Amino acid sequence: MAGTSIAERGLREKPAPAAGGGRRSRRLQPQGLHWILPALVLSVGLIYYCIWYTAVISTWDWDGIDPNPERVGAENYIRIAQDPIFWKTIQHTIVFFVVTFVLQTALGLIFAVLLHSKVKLAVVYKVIIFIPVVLAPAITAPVFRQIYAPDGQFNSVLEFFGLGFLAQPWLGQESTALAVIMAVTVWQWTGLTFVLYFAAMGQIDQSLLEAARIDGAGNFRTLIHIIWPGVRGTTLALAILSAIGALKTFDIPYLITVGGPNYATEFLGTYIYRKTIPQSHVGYGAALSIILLVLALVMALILQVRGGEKRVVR
Amino acid sequence: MQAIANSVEPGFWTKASKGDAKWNEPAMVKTLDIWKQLFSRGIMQEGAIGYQQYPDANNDFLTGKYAMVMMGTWYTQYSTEKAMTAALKAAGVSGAKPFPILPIQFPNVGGNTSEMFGDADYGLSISTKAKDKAAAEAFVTWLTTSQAGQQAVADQLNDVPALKGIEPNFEEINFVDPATQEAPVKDLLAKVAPVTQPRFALLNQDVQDAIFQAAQSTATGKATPEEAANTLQEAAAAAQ
Repeated sequence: MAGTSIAERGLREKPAPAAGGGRRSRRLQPQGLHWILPALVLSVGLIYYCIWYTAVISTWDWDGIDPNPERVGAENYIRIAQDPIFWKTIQHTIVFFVVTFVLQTALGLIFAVLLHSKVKLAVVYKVIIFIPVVLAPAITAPVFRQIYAPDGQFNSVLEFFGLGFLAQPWLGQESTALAVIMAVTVWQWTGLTFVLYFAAMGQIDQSLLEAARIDGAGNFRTLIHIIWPGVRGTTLALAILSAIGALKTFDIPYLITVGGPNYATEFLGTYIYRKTIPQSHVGYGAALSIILLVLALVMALILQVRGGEKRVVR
Repeated sequence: MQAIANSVEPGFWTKASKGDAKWNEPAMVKTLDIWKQLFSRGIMQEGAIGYQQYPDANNDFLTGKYAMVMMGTWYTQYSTEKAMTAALKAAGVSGAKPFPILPIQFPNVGGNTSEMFGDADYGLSISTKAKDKAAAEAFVTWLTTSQAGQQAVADQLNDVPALKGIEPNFEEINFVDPATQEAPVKDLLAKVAPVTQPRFALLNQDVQDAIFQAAQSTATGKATPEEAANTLQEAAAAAQ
Protein backbone atom coordinates (compact mmCIF):
# COMPACT_ATOMS: atom_id res chain seq x y z
CA MET A 1 0.00 0.00 0.00
CA ALA A 2 2.77 2.37 0.94
CA GLY A 3 4.56 1.45 -2.27
CA THR A 4 1.60 2.34 -4.44
CA SER A 5 1.03 5.70 -2.84
CA ILE A 6 4.68 6.70 -3.29
CA ALA A 7 4.48 5.74 -6.93
CA GLU A 8 1.28 7.72 -7.37
CA ARG A 9 2.78 10.75 -5.70
CA GLY A 10 5.79 10.45 -7.95
CA LEU A 11 3.55 10.38 -11.00
CA ARG A 12 1.55 13.39 -9.86
CA GLU A 13 4.68 15.41 -9.12
CA LYS A 14 6.01 14.96 -12.61
CA PRO A 15 5.28 17.84 -15.05
CA ALA A 16 2.67 17.46 -17.80
CA PRO A 17 3.72 14.80 -20.26
CA ALA A 18 5.16 15.55 -23.66
CA ALA A 19 3.86 13.47 -26.57
CA GLY A 20 2.84 9.83 -25.99
CA GLY A 21 6.41 8.69 -25.49
CA GLY A 22 6.70 10.60 -22.20
CA ARG A 23 3.60 9.00 -20.80
CA ARG A 24 4.87 5.54 -21.72
CA SER A 25 8.23 6.01 -20.04
CA ARG A 26 6.64 7.18 -16.81
CA ARG A 27 4.43 4.13 -16.61
CA LEU A 28 7.47 1.92 -17.11
CA GLN A 29 9.29 3.49 -14.14
CA PRO A 30 9.86 0.46 -11.92
CA GLN A 31 8.17 0.81 -8.59
CA GLY A 32 10.98 -0.96 -6.84
CA LEU A 33 13.61 1.58 -7.87
CA HIS A 34 13.60 3.19 -4.45
CA TRP A 35 14.26 -0.14 -2.77
CA ILE A 36 17.14 -1.29 -4.92
CA LEU A 37 18.69 2.16 -5.05
CA PRO A 38 21.11 1.62 -2.13
CA ALA A 39 22.42 -1.64 -3.55
CA LEU A 40 22.53 -0.12 -7.03
CA VAL A 41 24.48 2.91 -5.84
CA LEU A 42 26.93 0.70 -4.01
CA SER A 43 27.69 -1.79 -6.75
CA VAL A 44 27.35 0.34 -9.87
CA GLY A 45 28.65 3.50 -8.23
CA LEU A 46 31.68 1.72 -6.81
CA ILE A 47 32.48 -0.05 -10.08
CA TYR A 48 32.03 2.99 -12.27
CA TYR A 49 33.87 5.18 -9.81
CA CYS A 50 36.79 2.75 -9.86
CA ILE A 51 36.82 2.63 -13.63
CA TRP A 52 36.78 6.43 -13.79
CA TYR A 53 39.60 6.62 -11.21
CA THR A 54 41.66 4.10 -13.16
CA ALA A 55 41.18 6.21 -16.27
CA VAL A 56 42.42 9.26 -14.38
CA ILE A 57 45.49 7.43 -13.04
CA SER A 58 46.27 6.22 -16.54
CA THR A 59 47.21 9.78 -17.43
CA TRP A 60 49.77 9.97 -14.61
CA ASP A 61 53.35 8.80 -14.30
CA TRP A 62 52.97 7.51 -10.74
CA ASP A 63 54.58 4.95 -8.47
CA GLY A 64 51.51 4.51 -6.30
CA ILE A 65 52.93 6.24 -3.24
CA ASP A 66 54.25 9.64 -4.33
CA PRO A 67 51.85 12.38 -3.16
CA ASN A 68 52.67 14.41 -6.28
CA PRO A 69 52.09 12.30 -9.36
CA GLU A 70 53.31 13.68 -12.65
CA ARG A 71 50.56 14.33 -15.15
CA VAL A 72 51.57 13.16 -18.59
CA GLY A 73 48.33 13.03 -20.55
CA ALA A 74 48.18 10.33 -23.17
CA GLU A 75 51.89 9.49 -22.99
CA ASN A 76 51.26 6.12 -21.34
CA TYR A 77 48.99 5.11 -24.20
CA ILE A 78 51.54 6.18 -26.80
CA ARG A 79 54.23 4.15 -25.04
CA ILE A 80 51.92 1.17 -24.90
CA ALA A 81 51.39 1.37 -28.66
CA GLN A 82 55.17 1.16 -29.13
CA ASP A 83 55.71 -1.53 -26.51
CA PRO A 84 56.67 -4.84 -28.15
CA ILE A 85 55.74 -6.78 -25.01
CA PHE A 86 52.21 -5.35 -25.09
CA TRP A 87 51.71 -6.54 -28.66
CA LYS A 88 53.08 -9.92 -27.63
CA THR A 89 50.43 -10.14 -24.93
CA ILE A 90 47.73 -9.33 -27.48
CA GLN A 91 49.05 -12.00 -29.79
CA HIS A 92 49.17 -14.56 -26.99
CA THR A 93 45.64 -13.65 -25.91
CA ILE A 94 44.26 -14.17 -29.40
CA VAL A 95 46.04 -17.48 -29.92
CA PHE A 96 45.02 -18.56 -26.43
CA PHE A 97 41.38 -17.65 -26.98
CA VAL A 98 41.07 -19.37 -30.35
CA VAL A 99 42.83 -22.57 -29.35
CA THR A 100 41.24 -23.00 -25.93
CA PHE A 101 37.77 -22.09 -27.17
CA VAL A 102 37.91 -24.53 -30.09
CA LEU A 103 39.32 -27.36 -27.99
CA GLN A 104 36.99 -26.79 -25.04
CA THR A 105 33.95 -26.58 -27.31
CA ALA A 106 34.91 -29.71 -29.23
CA LEU A 107 35.72 -31.74 -26.15
CA GLY A 108 32.76 -30.43 -24.15
CA LEU A 109 30.37 -31.23 -26.99
CA ILE A 110 31.79 -34.69 -27.54
CA PHE A 111 31.60 -35.53 -23.86
CA ALA A 112 28.05 -34.19 -23.66
CA VAL A 113 26.96 -36.24 -26.65
CA LEU A 114 28.64 -39.37 -25.33
CA LEU A 115 27.11 -39.03 -21.90
CA HIS A 116 23.64 -38.43 -23.32
CA SER A 117 23.66 -41.91 -24.74
CA LYS A 118 23.24 -44.89 -22.47
CA VAL A 119 26.52 -45.18 -20.61
CA LYS A 120 27.14 -47.18 -17.45
CA LEU A 121 28.25 -45.15 -14.47
CA ALA A 122 27.58 -41.90 -16.32
CA VAL A 123 27.55 -39.98 -13.06
CA VAL A 124 31.12 -41.03 -12.27
CA TYR A 125 32.31 -39.75 -15.65
CA LYS A 126 30.48 -36.47 -15.18
CA VAL A 127 32.13 -35.94 -11.83
CA ILE A 128 35.58 -36.78 -13.19
CA ILE A 129 35.16 -34.36 -16.07
CA PHE A 130 33.90 -31.59 -13.82
CA ILE A 131 36.35 -31.84 -10.93
CA PRO A 132 39.13 -29.78 -12.60
CA VAL A 133 36.74 -26.82 -12.76
CA VAL A 134 36.46 -26.63 -8.99
CA LEU A 135 40.16 -27.07 -8.25
CA ALA A 136 41.97 -23.89 -7.29
CA PRO A 137 44.67 -22.88 -9.79
CA ALA A 138 47.00 -22.18 -6.87
CA ILE A 139 46.91 -25.90 -6.16
CA THR A 140 46.99 -27.23 -9.70
CA ALA A 141 49.75 -24.92 -10.91
CA PRO A 142 52.61 -26.36 -8.80
CA VAL A 143 51.47 -29.84 -9.72
CA PHE A 144 51.62 -29.02 -13.42
CA ARG A 145 55.00 -27.35 -12.95
CA GLN A 146 56.22 -30.64 -11.57
CA ILE A 147 54.58 -32.68 -14.33
CA TYR A 148 56.03 -30.59 -17.15
CA ALA A 149 59.47 -30.18 -15.61
CA PRO A 150 62.34 -31.56 -17.73
CA ASP A 151 62.53 -34.55 -15.38
CA GLY A 152 58.82 -34.57 -14.68
CA GLN A 153 56.10 -37.13 -15.15
CA PHE A 154 55.04 -35.99 -18.63
CA ASN A 155 58.47 -36.71 -20.10
CA SER A 156 58.58 -39.99 -18.17
CA VAL A 157 55.28 -41.05 -19.72
CA LEU A 158 56.54 -40.13 -23.18
CA GLU A 159 59.65 -42.20 -22.64
CA PHE A 160 57.57 -45.10 -21.37
CA PHE A 161 55.64 -45.16 -24.64
CA GLY A 162 58.82 -45.03 -26.66
CA LEU A 163 58.30 -41.36 -27.54
CA GLY A 164 61.42 -40.32 -25.64
CA PHE A 165 62.60 -38.21 -28.56
CA LEU A 166 59.69 -35.87 -27.85
CA ALA A 167 60.82 -35.28 -24.28
CA GLN A 168 61.93 -31.67 -23.85
CA PRO A 169 61.89 -28.87 -21.28
CA TRP A 170 58.29 -27.87 -21.93
CA LEU A 171 58.29 -24.91 -19.58
CA GLY A 172 61.81 -23.78 -20.33
CA GLN A 173 61.31 -23.12 -24.03
CA GLU A 174 59.51 -20.23 -25.64
CA SER A 175 58.11 -22.53 -28.31
CA THR A 176 56.26 -24.85 -25.97
CA ALA A 177 55.50 -22.81 -22.86
CA LEU A 178 52.31 -21.28 -24.27
CA ALA A 179 51.11 -24.69 -25.43
CA VAL A 180 51.45 -25.98 -21.86
CA ILE A 181 49.45 -23.03 -20.51
CA MET A 182 46.72 -23.68 -23.06
CA ALA A 183 46.70 -27.39 -22.27
CA VAL A 184 46.26 -26.72 -18.56
CA THR A 185 43.47 -24.24 -19.25
CA VAL A 186 41.63 -26.68 -21.50
CA TRP A 187 41.99 -29.35 -18.81
CA GLN A 188 40.59 -26.98 -16.23
CA TRP A 189 37.59 -25.57 -18.10
CA THR A 190 36.36 -28.36 -20.37
CA GLY A 191 34.19 -29.53 -17.48
CA LEU A 192 32.25 -26.28 -17.53
CA THR A 193 31.71 -26.45 -21.29
CA PHE A 194 30.59 -30.04 -20.89
CA VAL A 195 28.06 -29.25 -18.19
CA LEU A 196 26.54 -26.38 -20.16
CA TYR A 197 26.31 -28.37 -23.36
CA PHE A 198 24.86 -31.33 -21.51
CA ALA A 199 22.09 -29.14 -20.16
CA ALA A 200 21.51 -27.44 -23.52
CA MET A 201 21.27 -30.73 -25.33
CA GLY A 202 18.61 -31.85 -22.93
CA GLN A 203 16.51 -29.00 -24.30
CA ILE A 204 16.69 -30.18 -27.88
CA ASP A 205 13.37 -31.55 -29.04
CA GLN A 206 13.51 -35.35 -28.97
CA SER A 207 11.17 -35.59 -31.94
CA LEU A 208 13.75 -33.78 -34.10
CA LEU A 209 16.33 -36.40 -33.27
CA GLU A 210 13.90 -39.22 -33.89
CA ALA A 211 12.90 -37.74 -37.24
CA ALA A 212 16.54 -37.53 -38.20
CA ARG A 213 17.03 -41.17 -37.24
CA ILE A 214 14.08 -42.23 -39.32
CA ASP A 215 15.42 -40.26 -42.27
CA GLY A 216 18.61 -42.29 -42.00
CA ALA A 217 20.97 -39.68 -40.55
CA GLY A 218 24.01 -41.20 -38.89
CA ASN A 219 25.52 -40.01 -35.60
CA PHE A 220 27.90 -37.55 -37.19
CA ARG A 221 25.23 -35.99 -39.38
CA THR A 222 22.90 -35.60 -36.42
CA LEU A 223 25.67 -33.93 -34.47
CA ILE A 224 26.49 -31.39 -37.15
CA HIS A 225 23.05 -30.56 -38.45
CA ILE A 226 20.80 -30.88 -35.45
CA ILE A 227 22.72 -30.81 -32.20
CA TRP A 228 25.26 -28.12 -33.08
CA PRO A 229 22.70 -25.58 -34.31
CA GLY A 230 20.46 -26.52 -31.41
CA VAL A 231 23.03 -25.45 -28.82
CA ARG A 232 23.95 -22.24 -30.60
CA GLY A 233 22.89 -20.09 -27.66
CA THR A 234 25.22 -21.95 -25.32
CA THR A 235 28.04 -21.74 -27.82
CA LEU A 236 27.64 -17.99 -28.04
CA ALA A 237 27.57 -17.58 -24.27
CA LEU A 238 30.68 -19.75 -23.96
CA ALA A 239 32.40 -17.71 -26.67
CA ILE A 240 31.83 -14.49 -24.75
CA LEU A 241 32.92 -16.08 -21.47
CA SER A 242 35.96 -17.58 -23.15
CA ALA A 243 36.95 -14.30 -24.77
CA ILE A 244 36.70 -12.37 -21.54
CA GLY A 245 38.42 -15.21 -19.69
CA ALA A 246 41.28 -15.11 -22.19
CA LEU A 247 41.66 -11.39 -21.63
CA LYS A 248 41.59 -11.80 -17.87
CA THR A 249 43.73 -14.90 -17.58
CA PHE A 250 46.29 -14.51 -14.82
CA ASP A 251 46.64 -17.34 -12.34
CA ILE A 252 47.70 -20.17 -14.62
CA PRO A 253 50.36 -18.28 -16.61
CA TYR A 254 51.60 -16.45 -13.52
CA LEU A 255 51.88 -19.50 -11.30
CA ILE A 256 53.29 -21.89 -13.86
CA THR A 257 55.70 -19.81 -15.91
CA VAL A 258 55.51 -16.29 -14.37
CA GLY A 259 54.93 -14.93 -17.86
CA GLY A 260 58.18 -16.42 -19.12
CA PRO A 261 60.42 -17.62 -20.49
CA ASN A 262 61.29 -14.32 -22.08
CA TYR A 263 57.66 -13.13 -22.06
CA ALA A 264 56.51 -16.16 -24.07
CA THR A 265 53.49 -16.63 -21.83
CA GLU A 266 52.86 -13.02 -20.91
CA PHE A 267 49.20 -12.01 -20.95
CA LEU A 268 47.55 -8.68 -20.36
CA GLY A 269 46.66 -9.68 -16.80
CA THR A 270 50.18 -10.75 -15.88
CA TYR A 271 51.68 -7.73 -17.66
CA ILE A 272 49.41 -5.33 -15.79
CA TYR A 273 50.42 -6.94 -12.51
CA ARG A 274 54.11 -6.89 -13.42
CA LYS A 275 54.03 -3.23 -14.38
CA THR A 276 51.94 -2.08 -11.44
CA ILE A 277 53.29 -3.94 -8.42
CA PRO A 278 56.94 -5.00 -8.77
CA GLN A 279 57.85 -2.17 -11.16
CA SER A 280 55.65 0.48 -9.52
CA HIS A 281 54.55 1.97 -12.85
CA VAL A 282 50.99 2.42 -11.65
CA GLY A 283 50.02 4.87 -14.39
CA TYR A 284 51.23 2.55 -17.11
CA GLY A 285 49.43 -0.39 -15.51
CA ALA A 286 46.25 1.68 -15.28
CA ALA A 287 46.48 2.55 -18.97
CA LEU A 288 46.87 -1.15 -19.77
CA SER A 289 43.82 -1.87 -17.63
CA ILE A 290 41.72 0.65 -19.54
CA ILE A 291 42.81 -0.93 -22.80
CA LEU A 292 41.85 -4.32 -21.37
CA LEU A 293 38.41 -2.97 -20.49
CA VAL A 294 37.92 -1.53 -23.98
CA LEU A 295 39.01 -4.81 -25.58
CA ALA A 296 36.61 -6.80 -23.41
CA LEU A 297 33.69 -4.52 -24.31
CA VAL A 298 34.54 -4.67 -28.01
CA MET A 299 34.80 -8.47 -27.92
CA ALA A 300 31.50 -8.78 -26.10
CA LEU A 301 29.81 -6.41 -28.55
CA ILE A 302 31.17 -8.20 -31.61
CA LEU A 303 30.09 -11.58 -30.31
CA GLN A 304 26.65 -10.33 -29.32
CA VAL A 305 26.07 -8.70 -32.69
CA ARG A 306 27.23 -11.76 -34.58
CA GLY A 307 25.05 -13.95 -32.43
CA GLY A 308 22.13 -11.59 -32.82
CA GLU A 309 22.44 -11.60 -36.59
CA LYS A 310 22.32 -15.37 -36.64
CA ARG A 311 19.17 -15.37 -34.60
CA VAL A 312 17.46 -12.91 -36.95
CA VAL A 313 18.40 -14.99 -39.98
CA ARG A 314 16.78 -18.07 -38.45
CA MET B 1 75.54 -11.83 -13.79
CA GLN B 2 77.17 -9.50 -11.29
CA ALA B 3 79.37 -12.33 -10.04
CA ILE B 4 80.55 -13.09 -13.56
CA ALA B 5 81.14 -9.39 -14.30
CA ASN B 6 83.19 -9.07 -11.12
CA SER B 7 85.44 -11.82 -12.37
CA VAL B 8 85.76 -10.31 -15.84
CA GLU B 9 86.51 -6.75 -14.75
CA PRO B 10 86.38 -5.95 -11.04
CA GLY B 11 84.54 -2.70 -10.35
CA PHE B 12 82.84 -2.48 -13.76
CA TRP B 13 79.41 -3.47 -12.53
CA THR B 14 79.27 -0.74 -9.89
CA LYS B 15 80.48 1.84 -12.41
CA ALA B 16 77.80 0.84 -14.89
CA SER B 17 75.16 0.85 -12.14
CA LYS B 18 76.09 4.42 -11.30
CA GLY B 19 76.09 5.43 -14.97
CA ASP B 20 79.86 5.99 -15.07
CA ALA B 21 80.24 3.19 -17.61
CA LYS B 22 77.99 1.92 -20.35
CA TRP B 23 76.28 -1.44 -20.20
CA ASN B 24 77.42 -2.30 -23.72
CA GLU B 25 81.15 -1.97 -23.03
CA PRO B 26 83.38 -4.96 -23.83
CA ALA B 27 83.38 -6.08 -20.18
CA MET B 28 79.60 -6.56 -20.24
CA VAL B 29 79.62 -8.19 -23.66
CA LYS B 30 82.20 -10.68 -22.35
CA THR B 31 80.08 -11.21 -19.23
CA LEU B 32 77.03 -11.98 -21.35
CA ASP B 33 79.10 -14.28 -23.53
CA ILE B 34 80.33 -16.28 -20.53
CA TRP B 35 76.72 -16.40 -19.30
CA LYS B 36 75.59 -17.66 -22.68
CA GLN B 37 78.24 -20.38 -22.63
CA LEU B 38 76.82 -21.72 -19.39
CA PHE B 39 73.84 -22.73 -21.50
CA SER B 40 75.37 -23.51 -24.87
CA ARG B 41 78.00 -25.78 -23.30
CA GLY B 42 75.47 -27.66 -21.23
CA ILE B 43 76.76 -26.51 -17.85
CA MET B 44 73.26 -25.36 -16.92
CA GLN B 45 70.71 -28.16 -17.00
CA GLU B 46 68.13 -28.38 -19.78
CA GLY B 47 65.15 -26.13 -19.21
CA ALA B 48 67.08 -23.97 -16.75
CA ILE B 49 65.46 -20.86 -18.22
CA GLY B 50 62.09 -21.95 -16.92
CA TYR B 51 63.61 -22.90 -13.57
CA GLN B 52 63.06 -20.63 -10.59
CA GLN B 53 65.34 -19.99 -7.63
CA TYR B 54 62.45 -20.63 -5.25
CA PRO B 55 60.94 -23.22 -5.15
CA ASP B 56 62.68 -25.18 -7.90
CA ALA B 57 66.43 -24.69 -7.31
CA ASN B 58 66.04 -24.54 -3.55
CA ASN B 59 63.94 -27.68 -3.28
CA ASP B 60 66.02 -29.67 -5.74
CA PHE B 61 69.22 -28.83 -3.88
CA LEU B 62 67.74 -29.67 -0.51
CA THR B 63 66.32 -32.95 -1.77
CA GLY B 64 69.76 -33.93 -2.98
CA LYS B 65 69.17 -33.72 -6.72
CA TYR B 66 71.97 -31.25 -7.35
CA ALA B 67 75.34 -30.91 -5.70
CA MET B 68 75.65 -27.13 -5.87
CA VAL B 69 73.27 -24.17 -5.81
CA MET B 70 73.96 -20.46 -6.17
CA MET B 71 72.47 -18.61 -3.27
CA GLY B 72 73.79 -15.99 -0.85
CA THR B 73 74.87 -15.53 2.72
CA TRP B 74 71.29 -15.97 3.85
CA TYR B 75 71.66 -19.63 2.98
CA THR B 76 74.18 -20.01 5.81
CA GLN B 77 71.21 -20.43 8.14
CA TYR B 78 70.66 -23.89 6.67
CA SER B 79 74.04 -25.10 7.89
CA THR B 80 72.53 -25.65 11.35
CA GLU B 81 70.78 -28.87 12.16
CA LYS B 82 67.52 -27.28 13.23
CA ALA B 83 67.11 -25.02 10.21
CA MET B 84 68.21 -27.71 7.74
CA THR B 85 65.66 -30.17 9.11
CA ALA B 86 62.89 -27.59 8.87
CA ALA B 87 63.92 -26.66 5.33
CA LEU B 88 63.97 -30.29 4.26
CA LYS B 89 60.47 -30.77 5.60
CA ALA B 90 59.32 -27.66 3.75
CA ALA B 91 60.90 -28.99 0.55
CA GLY B 92 58.82 -32.11 0.94
CA VAL B 93 61.43 -34.67 1.91
CA SER B 94 59.93 -37.34 4.14
CA GLY B 95 62.15 -38.66 6.90
CA ALA B 96 64.36 -35.62 6.47
CA LYS B 97 67.99 -36.23 7.35
CA PRO B 98 70.00 -33.03 7.46
CA PHE B 99 73.25 -32.89 5.49
CA PRO B 100 76.13 -30.42 5.85
CA ILE B 101 76.36 -27.53 3.36
CA LEU B 102 79.46 -25.41 2.76
CA PRO B 103 80.01 -22.01 1.21
CA ILE B 104 82.52 -21.80 -1.66
CA GLN B 105 83.96 -18.91 -3.60
CA PHE B 106 82.40 -18.10 -6.98
CA PRO B 107 84.60 -19.72 -9.63
CA ASN B 108 87.13 -17.58 -11.47
CA VAL B 109 85.40 -17.52 -14.85
CA GLY B 110 86.75 -14.30 -16.22
CA GLY B 111 90.31 -14.12 -15.06
CA ASN B 112 89.98 -12.39 -11.68
CA THR B 113 88.74 -13.37 -8.24
CA SER B 114 85.10 -12.39 -8.13
CA GLU B 115 84.64 -9.78 -5.42
CA MET B 116 81.62 -10.32 -3.17
CA PHE B 117 78.72 -7.88 -3.15
CA GLY B 118 75.69 -7.28 -1.00
CA ASP B 119 73.12 -4.83 0.30
CA ALA B 120 70.92 -4.35 3.31
CA ASP B 121 68.46 -7.24 3.06
CA TYR B 122 65.48 -5.18 4.15
CA GLY B 123 64.59 -2.05 6.05
CA LEU B 124 62.51 -1.77 9.18
CA SER B 125 59.87 0.91 9.32
CA ILE B 126 57.16 2.02 11.74
CA SER B 127 53.75 3.05 10.51
CA THR B 128 52.81 6.65 11.24
CA LYS B 129 49.41 5.30 12.22
CA ALA B 130 50.81 2.82 14.76
CA LYS B 131 49.14 2.89 18.16
CA ASP B 132 52.28 2.23 20.20
CA LYS B 133 54.86 4.17 18.22
CA ALA B 134 57.19 4.64 21.18
CA ALA B 135 57.22 0.93 21.93
CA ALA B 136 57.80 0.08 18.27
CA GLU B 137 60.63 2.59 18.06
CA ALA B 138 62.19 1.15 21.19
CA PHE B 139 62.03 -2.36 19.74
CA VAL B 140 63.53 -1.40 16.38
CA THR B 141 66.31 0.56 18.08
CA TRP B 142 67.03 -2.40 20.34
CA LEU B 143 67.07 -4.89 17.48
CA THR B 144 69.33 -2.88 15.20
CA THR B 145 71.74 -1.12 17.55
CA SER B 146 71.96 -2.96 20.85
CA GLN B 147 74.44 -5.77 21.44
CA ALA B 148 71.75 -8.20 22.60
CA GLY B 149 69.49 -7.52 19.63
CA GLN B 150 72.27 -7.77 17.08
CA GLN B 151 73.57 -10.91 18.74
CA ALA B 152 70.14 -12.47 18.25
CA VAL B 153 70.27 -11.49 14.56
CA ALA B 154 73.80 -12.84 14.16
CA ASP B 155 73.03 -16.17 15.77
CA GLN B 156 70.38 -16.94 13.15
CA LEU B 157 73.14 -17.00 10.49
CA ASN B 158 70.63 -15.47 8.09
CA ASP B 159 71.60 -11.80 8.05
CA VAL B 160 75.03 -10.39 8.78
CA PRO B 161 74.66 -8.02 11.77
CA ALA B 162 74.97 -4.31 11.03
CA LEU B 163 76.66 -3.58 14.35
CA LYS B 164 80.41 -3.96 14.04
CA GLY B 165 82.12 -6.40 16.34
CA ILE B 166 79.16 -8.75 16.71
CA GLU B 167 79.91 -12.33 15.75
CA PRO B 168 77.65 -15.35 15.90
CA ASN B 169 78.00 -17.27 19.12
CA PHE B 170 79.40 -20.48 17.69
CA GLU B 171 79.22 -22.21 21.08
CA GLU B 172 75.43 -22.14 20.86
CA ILE B 173 75.08 -22.88 17.15
CA ASN B 174 74.62 -26.55 16.25
CA PHE B 175 76.08 -27.32 12.87
CA VAL B 176 75.07 -30.51 11.14
CA ASP B 177 78.74 -31.47 10.91
CA PRO B 178 80.92 -28.99 12.83
CA ALA B 179 84.15 -30.63 11.71
CA THR B 180 83.60 -29.70 8.05
CA GLN B 181 81.33 -26.66 8.37
CA GLU B 182 82.62 -24.44 11.17
CA ALA B 183 85.82 -23.25 9.53
CA PRO B 184 84.39 -22.33 6.10
CA VAL B 185 81.40 -20.54 7.67
CA LYS B 186 83.64 -18.52 10.01
CA ASP B 187 85.87 -17.72 7.05
CA LEU B 188 82.88 -16.54 4.99
CA LEU B 189 81.55 -14.31 7.76
CA ALA B 190 84.97 -12.75 8.23
CA LYS B 191 85.24 -12.05 4.48
CA VAL B 192 81.74 -10.60 4.31
CA ALA B 193 82.26 -7.87 6.90
CA PRO B 194 84.35 -5.50 4.72
CA VAL B 195 82.21 -5.90 1.56
CA THR B 196 81.12 -2.55 0.16
CA GLN B 197 79.97 -3.39 -3.36
CA PRO B 198 76.17 -3.07 -3.60
CA ARG B 199 73.89 -5.66 -5.15
CA PHE B 200 70.53 -4.03 -5.89
CA ALA B 201 70.89 -0.68 -4.18
CA LEU B 202 72.06 1.19 -7.28
CA LEU B 203 69.69 -0.47 -9.75
CA ASN B 204 66.07 0.56 -10.06
CA GLN B 205 63.46 -2.03 -10.99
CA ASP B 206 63.49 -1.13 -14.69
CA VAL B 207 67.24 -1.66 -14.99
CA GLN B 208 66.99 -4.94 -13.07
CA ASP B 209 64.27 -5.98 -15.49
CA ALA B 210 66.43 -5.03 -18.46
CA ILE B 211 69.35 -7.07 -17.08
CA PHE B 212 66.99 -9.99 -16.64
CA GLN B 213 65.85 -9.55 -20.23
CA ALA B 214 69.43 -9.47 -21.50
CA ALA B 215 70.16 -12.64 -19.54
CA GLN B 216 67.13 -14.46 -20.92
CA SER B 217 67.64 -13.42 -24.52
CA THR B 218 71.28 -14.47 -24.58
CA ALA B 219 70.60 -17.72 -22.78
CA THR B 220 67.88 -18.71 -25.25
CA GLY B 221 70.03 -17.57 -28.18
CA LYS B 222 67.47 -14.98 -29.25
CA ALA B 223 70.11 -12.26 -29.16
CA THR B 224 73.88 -12.20 -29.39
CA PRO B 225 75.78 -10.82 -26.40
CA GLU B 226 76.46 -7.60 -28.35
CA GLU B 227 72.80 -7.11 -29.25
CA ALA B 228 71.66 -7.87 -25.72
CA ALA B 229 74.21 -5.46 -24.26
CA ASN B 230 73.07 -2.70 -26.61
CA THR B 231 69.43 -3.28 -25.72
CA LEU B 232 70.37 -3.24 -22.05
CA GLN B 233 72.23 0.07 -22.43
CA GLU B 234 69.21 1.62 -24.18
CA ALA B 235 66.85 0.44 -21.48
CA ALA B 236 69.15 1.57 -18.67
CA ALA B 237 69.58 5.01 -20.25
CA ALA B 238 65.81 5.34 -20.64
CA ALA B 239 65.23 4.27 -17.05
CA GLN B 240 67.43 6.93 -15.50
